[in-house]
Amino acid sequence: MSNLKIEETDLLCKKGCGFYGNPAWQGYCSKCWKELKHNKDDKISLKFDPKTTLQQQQQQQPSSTQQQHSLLRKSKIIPSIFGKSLSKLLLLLIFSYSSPKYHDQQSHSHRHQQSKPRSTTTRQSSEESQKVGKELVDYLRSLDMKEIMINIPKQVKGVIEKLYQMSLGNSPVDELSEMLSTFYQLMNDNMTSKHLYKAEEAEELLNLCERYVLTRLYSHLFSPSVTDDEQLDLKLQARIRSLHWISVHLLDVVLNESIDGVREHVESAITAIIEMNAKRCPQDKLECVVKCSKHIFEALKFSKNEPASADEFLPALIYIVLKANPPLLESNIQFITRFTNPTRLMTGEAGYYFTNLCCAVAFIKSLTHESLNLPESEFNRYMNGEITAHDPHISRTCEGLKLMEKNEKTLMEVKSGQEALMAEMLQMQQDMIDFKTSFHSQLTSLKMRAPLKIKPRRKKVDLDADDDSKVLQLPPPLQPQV
Amino acid sequence: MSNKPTNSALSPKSYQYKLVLLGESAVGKSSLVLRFVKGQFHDYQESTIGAAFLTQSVCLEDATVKFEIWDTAGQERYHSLAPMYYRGAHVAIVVYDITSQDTFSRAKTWIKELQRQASAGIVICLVGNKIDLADKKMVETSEAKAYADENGLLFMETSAKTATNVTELFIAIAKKLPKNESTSHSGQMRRGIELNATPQTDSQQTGCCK
Repeated sequence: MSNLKIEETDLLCKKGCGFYGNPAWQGYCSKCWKELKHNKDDKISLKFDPKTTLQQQQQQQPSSTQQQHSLLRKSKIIPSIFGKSLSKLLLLLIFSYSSPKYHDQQSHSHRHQQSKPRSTTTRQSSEESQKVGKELVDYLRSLDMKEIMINIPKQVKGVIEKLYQMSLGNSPVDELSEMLSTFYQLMNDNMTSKHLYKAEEAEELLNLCERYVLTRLYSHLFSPSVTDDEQLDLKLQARIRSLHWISVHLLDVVLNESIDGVREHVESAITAIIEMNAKRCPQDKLECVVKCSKHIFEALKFSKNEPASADEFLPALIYIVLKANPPLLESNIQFITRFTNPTRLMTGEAGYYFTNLCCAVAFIKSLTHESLNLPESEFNRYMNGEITAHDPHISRTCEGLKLMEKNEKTLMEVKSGQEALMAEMLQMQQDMIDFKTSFHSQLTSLKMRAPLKIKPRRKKVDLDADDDSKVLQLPPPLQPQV
Repeated sequence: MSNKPTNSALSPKSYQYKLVLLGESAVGKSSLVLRFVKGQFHDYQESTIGAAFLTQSVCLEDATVKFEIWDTAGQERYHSLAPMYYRGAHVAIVVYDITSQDTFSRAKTWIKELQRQASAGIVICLVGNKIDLADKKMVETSEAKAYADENGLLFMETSAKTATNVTELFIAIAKKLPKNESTSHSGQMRRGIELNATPQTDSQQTGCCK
């Protein structure tokens, strides 16, 4: 902390070649680090123990891309020793994606010894990507089939690379989405046609691949600059804000928010739908939608005491979306629609709830006075803010007052509990005093009946003790008589 | 193609279909489904809190048919959203209330729309519910039957309340559905892509993958 300012010279390669160094390469530039590492590797390979090295690789697996590259180099030097583990190495390499363009640039500039160092950024995978990458690799490994292991990572890497280049080249988003869905199709067909593994395994693999690809490229695929998602987000947000006056009754929602349990579930549903934006891959986003929907059903069940149907669910979902106004909702929906495996949206529970969410958004966008059964003039006055929502049935008190009432109730409960406790304590104190006095009186009466006399202890006589007084008490020793 | 391992050991083949429920809001769509799902077979659906998304299987002699039932909101104001639900559906059940002529004409609108917009092979089924209220009957069986025949629909009159014809309805649908391989798996949508086509990987690889 003593020196917060970093000089430019501190950033340069430790070897002094004039290029910038990188902390990940211990302060060397890529070229010097490579050389250094190469020398080290050669030394290591001379006394190579396959067992320990394999363990090392597994430990190093989630580490940075650079280390994985160096591992690969090892494998090239001594492929025969690695034998079986080669395929695992391949996996490691393949999932440590780095743009080849970047490497070309670097070596090129080195070759020509340009005087000006180039500042380039490394594409290091984020924590999330590393995590999903590891999951995928682990799963592939658990299947333990070489053929798949080599083929799938190759395809996954291929598609990541392609998508990355396409997004850099500002390709239309439809092309990207088309490419990805072709990829899913291809993977699926490949897997099912080869009969190598069970349907569930194939599904899980496809799932993990999707997770990995989309987590990896999330920043490029979510709300890409070629689309106007961002404007749509803002528009939708403004639209929802302008509809803040819509109440439960206008939408015919059967939610009764005056019940505590209902309110809790409504709040949880709102939290869940807002949380969607924080997740990266479509599976997790959809999970949030499902969670939100489940809370809505719970809330409806609380209000109605019977399982709700779609007739009640959709209006409730619309109401929740209006209340929550989730951030970047349009972008999130678009991201899921474009890039997740299409079958995920056509079938299954998540697909159903996602369809409902899309419907809710479509309804909100196209909402008119007719959809609320309001006269046009009144609708317009609401929209202009001339009249504000006044609903005698629900929010008679504001949220703060409700909270206050609730707190007051809790306090009263605590108070009565406290009083009860206090009374018990006093009672106990009294009991203790009573006990003491009765104990005393009993004790004294007992003492009276049988007084305790303590006799002095008898002393033991120690014959061997070297006591003169005792010796004196003894009769004189017998004298021999002649 | 057919010797693919299936997950159920009980029957030789299992198929999964997406079924969409359409109909005015008070005609008893969800009671129909609840009766079907809870009244027979193993009810293993994960959530019983809601009746909007449910699954249930029907066992035929040679196959198990699993229905994934998507309920839709029946109110008029949500009518325009219906296509989002029946996209990719294999079956659509259009329900009307036999005691209300209005619900029958709404059902007809839906059927026209389905024929125009839904996927080509969709099986459409017209269902008149609430036959336990026969004394209040407003839609004649002959009228509905004629309409169904004219449009090539399955037709049945049911009562969710007394369970009349409910199971029969789903069995009839299960029998009518095409049992080809393409629908046997939920995770598949064939689009005629060559199976062994080599994936287009990047030729500019770092040269270490062989």
